[in-house]
Amino acid sequence: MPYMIGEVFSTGLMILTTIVLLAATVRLLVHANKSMTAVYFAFTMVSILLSEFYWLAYDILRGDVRMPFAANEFAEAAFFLLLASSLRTVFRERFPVFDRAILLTALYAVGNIVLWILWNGDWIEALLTGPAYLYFLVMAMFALRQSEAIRRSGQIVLGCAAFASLALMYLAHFIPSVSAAMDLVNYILLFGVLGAMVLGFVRALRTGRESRVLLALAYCAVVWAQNSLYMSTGWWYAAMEMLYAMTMPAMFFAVRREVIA
Amino acid sequence: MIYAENILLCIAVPLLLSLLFVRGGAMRFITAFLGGMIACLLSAYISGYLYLVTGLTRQDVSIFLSPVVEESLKFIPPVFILLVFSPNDRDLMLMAVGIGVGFATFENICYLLTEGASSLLFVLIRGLAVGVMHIVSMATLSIALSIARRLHALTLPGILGALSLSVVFHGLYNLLVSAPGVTSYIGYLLPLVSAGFLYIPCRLLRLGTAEPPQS
Repeated sequence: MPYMIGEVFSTGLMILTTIVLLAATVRLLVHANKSMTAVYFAFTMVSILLSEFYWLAYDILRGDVRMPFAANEFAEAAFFLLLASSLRTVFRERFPVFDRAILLTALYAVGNIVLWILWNGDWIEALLTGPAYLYFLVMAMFALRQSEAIRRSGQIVLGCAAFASLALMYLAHFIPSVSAAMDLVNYILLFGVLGAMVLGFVRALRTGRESRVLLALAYCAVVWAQNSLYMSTGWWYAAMEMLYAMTMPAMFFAVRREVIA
Repeated sequence: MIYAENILLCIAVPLLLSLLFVRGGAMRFITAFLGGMIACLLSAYISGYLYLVTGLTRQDVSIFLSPVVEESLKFIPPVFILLVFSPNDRDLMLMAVGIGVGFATFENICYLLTEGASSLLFVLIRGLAVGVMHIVSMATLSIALSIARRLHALTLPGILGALSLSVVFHGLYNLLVSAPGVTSYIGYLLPLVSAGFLYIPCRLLRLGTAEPPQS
């Protein structure tokens, strides 16, 4: 299958990116004198690296069969928890559990987790990865609001895009006759929002905005890319994974700015 | 069919008696070794149960689920002792490796009794690949926990991160050796090569020394 080659290539790219970022983070750790943000980020890179090696081996050996619950689910759960923890080391303010945006983010996360179960019926995977994923999503939204990285109108647009994407996926699942069209619209939405996020990050980096803003933008881009990855298949998956690999350096630059600051 | 419980008893009794005559690191190592053998037996029970309830093939259970079950069971004793007794890095490594060796030894004995030991190649693969893999996965866990503690990251995400390293390493090994050909050779070499790589951070971070943890 040709798209398998694309997946192997994108996973290889992800491995290369992660190795480079891991080396850079270890170097940063030496200079940063035990910065917790950098420590959690380094652990995250190791988790991603092993998970990607697992995916690469799986793609080569059994790429034509969907992966059941496997060892790399642990790495994914650890990835979400470690990233959320690294954000928490910077955003130490009191966590507003009943904030409307936080509750909507949690609802969006639950909607996604239900979708995973609908797609593959794997309850164990959802139970293991789901809570960690929800925590990371909620922390990313918390960081976005605390840092005021984007204006309120921007937050509303982002929320609408997220729920629209979720609705499209549900429609595609329950009405097979329109699934191809829904998928296409969803891919345009996912890629469009991710592109806007990356541009926003680059602009914030160039204009010298504070490290909290960069962290919030970079981590939100990673959340979006990760979500988009879950919603993609075939060539779209390979293309999204390449974009996902590009959001990783953004995270590193944000962490470095925070640690050096 | 083999009677794994009987084999465990046969090996465990002399080891238990030896505890009367040894002290210090040797006693801790033997205790961890026994713990590793018990973890192996328990994980065989759980994997067998998962084979019955999940509907996966026996091979799929051993590739995808066994690493999770086995590493989780091996992970509980070191983390419990780390959180309750705060041992130094050397004792943590001693115990983790002891559990890994006990696990690998018991698993190898059961496999050899089932499959026979007439093929030298098979025996060497069991010893140098599977046996070393259990030690490497536990040493990885121990190093990750020691680093997390030194960097004040011994939190739930830090501990889960450490567990994920050993689980994915084990899962990767099982996946690679599941198919014949080049990937299986890579899989067989993976534990030995990783053991070499692990030796470097062990020396650099002086995890083998008895210095107390920094707090």
